[in-house]
Amino acid sequence: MKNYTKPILAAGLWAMIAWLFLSGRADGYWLVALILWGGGATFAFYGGERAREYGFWVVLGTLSVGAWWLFFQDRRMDSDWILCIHLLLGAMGLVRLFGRAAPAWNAPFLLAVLLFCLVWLSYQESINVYFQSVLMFTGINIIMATSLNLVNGYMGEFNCGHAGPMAVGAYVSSLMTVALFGKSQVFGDPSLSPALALFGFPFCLLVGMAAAAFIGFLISIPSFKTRGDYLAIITIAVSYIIKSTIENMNVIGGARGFMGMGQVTQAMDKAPQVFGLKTSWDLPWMMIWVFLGTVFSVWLLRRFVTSTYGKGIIAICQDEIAAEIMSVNTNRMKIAAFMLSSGLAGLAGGLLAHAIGYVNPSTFNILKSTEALLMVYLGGMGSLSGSVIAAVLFTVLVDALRFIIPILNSALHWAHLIPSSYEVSQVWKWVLIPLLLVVIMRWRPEGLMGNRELTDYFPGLRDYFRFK
Amino acid sequence: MPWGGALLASILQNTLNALQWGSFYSLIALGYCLVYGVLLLINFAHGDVYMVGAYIAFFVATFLLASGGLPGWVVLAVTVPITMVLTAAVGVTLERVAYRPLRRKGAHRLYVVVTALMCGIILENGNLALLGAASRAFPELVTTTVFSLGDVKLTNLKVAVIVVAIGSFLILETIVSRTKIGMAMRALSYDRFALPLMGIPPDTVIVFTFVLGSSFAALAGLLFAMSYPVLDPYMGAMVGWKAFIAAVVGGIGEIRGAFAGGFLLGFVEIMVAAFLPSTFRDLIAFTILLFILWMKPTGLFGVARFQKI
Repeated sequence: MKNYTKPILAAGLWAMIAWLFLSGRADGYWLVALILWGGGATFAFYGGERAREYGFWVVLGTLSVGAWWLFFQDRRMDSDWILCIHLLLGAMGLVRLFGRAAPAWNAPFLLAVLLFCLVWLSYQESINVYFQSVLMFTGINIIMATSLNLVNGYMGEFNCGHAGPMAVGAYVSSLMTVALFGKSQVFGDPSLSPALALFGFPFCLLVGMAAAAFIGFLISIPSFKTRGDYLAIITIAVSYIIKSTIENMNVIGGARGFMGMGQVTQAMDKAPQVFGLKTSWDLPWMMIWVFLGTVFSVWLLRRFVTSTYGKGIIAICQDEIAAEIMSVNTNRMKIAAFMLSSGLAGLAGGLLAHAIGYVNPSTFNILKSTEALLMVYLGGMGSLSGSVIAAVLFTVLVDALRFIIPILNSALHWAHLIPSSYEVSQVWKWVLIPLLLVVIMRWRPEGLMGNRELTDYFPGLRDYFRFK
Repeated sequence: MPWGGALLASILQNTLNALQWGSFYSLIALGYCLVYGVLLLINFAHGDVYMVGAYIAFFVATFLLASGGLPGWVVLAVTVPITMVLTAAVGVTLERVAYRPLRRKGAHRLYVVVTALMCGIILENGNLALLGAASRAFPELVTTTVFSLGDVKLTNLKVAVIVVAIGSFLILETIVSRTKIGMAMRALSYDRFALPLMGIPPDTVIVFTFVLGSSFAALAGLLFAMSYPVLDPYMGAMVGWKAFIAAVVGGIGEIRGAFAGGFLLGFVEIMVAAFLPSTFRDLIAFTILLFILWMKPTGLFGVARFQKI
């Protein structure tokens, strides 16, 4: 079959440039830049070996420098989106051109540019509050899925109580932030200045993670003797016990839930007061924290499972007895895996509680654990990038169906396929999503990625990040 | 009445309630256990098959009551087999549509488990979407008779539930240990690759397993609907998880274990709810179960499978 990738990419590029020109969105510098960019890309597509290697990225790199320069010169852009797309592509070009000099810095640089773009777009309100919350939930789901993948995918156990440590992390970190920086009925006035909220928040998250990791430690002790489905029951039972305990603690709201985290996240804007400044940093702080938390989790897990020490976990999955003989301390590995997985689940819980500003024990019911399971097995056991892709897909699907279902409803009514008295309600979302996942499972019975990573399918991606 | 007598009566009464409550768990746990024993598949959709069974029983019974002037016990006698057959069809459909293709492609066991989980979600939300959120009241088919033994009250329904649960256990135990198809089921669980070599069609055995499990779940659904006559689409989710937990605590794959585990869970739950604040029910019940699994890591009746290198 002939490869149509190049002509399609080139045509798409030129169509975009034409559209930007015709709609009046690009003029002056941007028009020249875009035409240069498109020309360079086309040249790179159809040029020889050398052109393919450098031409594309030279154009992108220079453009990116131009964009940065223009940005810091007069801070005026035609469109925030064009700016951000250019920044991202330009950063990729820079990495491609100069990345070999310092490979360890490629990924941090790209992620920093991505974070800057997200913050900039939110700050300019180019992405609205709803979309920001979707982005935050995506990040939290990524943490949830990747951390569960460590136990369920890499270690091959069946943990169905991931919501339990999440609840612990959420409650501990929320109680701490509210006690320290917020006014509440439980704790009274804040014990520290709310201006410190920004700096105290990561420590509160860390304490929540530690508490959740302790739950992981407790689960790991029976896992020495108990395996498989018996261990699955232990994890479910622990998550039920945690939920039930929180429901019975009336001091912190019991089944009604606990709130007050909203004021803490708002207090983060006051951080400059610590330095005696009168200004306020009105940034989307929670999004920054979720982004950092997501990057931290994926980085940590990736480092862990590719390390010599972490390979013991994969050895346990393949054959526990053989691993034991090969001098893997299986009990210790299980403690490490469960603590790391639960600790990161606690991070996800803490971020979720602060992103919503409200936490309720029924948020962390068996459905939450089920969602985490779905994401892990949709992505593939033992594939971190699979979990990330599945989490993004799942979150986007859930929110896209919110808009698709009314359209579907009116389309079906228009075609008279359903009786006019019946409305297709949002309940169908939870029929369509599992149905779609069942179909995907039939199509790929080992998840989207199997146990391979994205870089195994696209080796070119290795140029952009390196985990050594 | 002296205080000790009242306590004794209360314990007896709660024991009877626990037997009834445990019967539902046992009946559902038996289905989990059969499928697990044969396929090593945790059929998480089983709790929702039980819910579907209750709904099918509701529609069949309402239809029969409305269509003719049949007396209640005749309606019940007709409803039981129809419900069991229709629910078995639902279980077998799940097997054919969702699990078998995955098995054929050689998917990892846990992918099939997650598919089962999703099938359960489809069943409960599909029901909610199609039939609406209003909960339905099950018609009274048999007039409730109350027998009083001192302070202990016993209804005919309660006795029927307990008797049916014990009867189902005996039937299943007989089928699995005495009949030819039961032998094929045990053979399948022992070595699924040798089974076709012996001339036994594995798919037939698997379908039979699903028929058995689903029809007993339907029986549980029908009895539950008669005892607590309010149906809602999520009634199977929680009970299903708990029945699964009961099956594992009993030692999953062992029919005796599932039966005993169901009664144990019912007993713990009712006793906690009777003598302590009911919000502590899950907390204490699961702590006890956790403790049992800690002491006996393969459940009450389970035998540790030694792994060869």
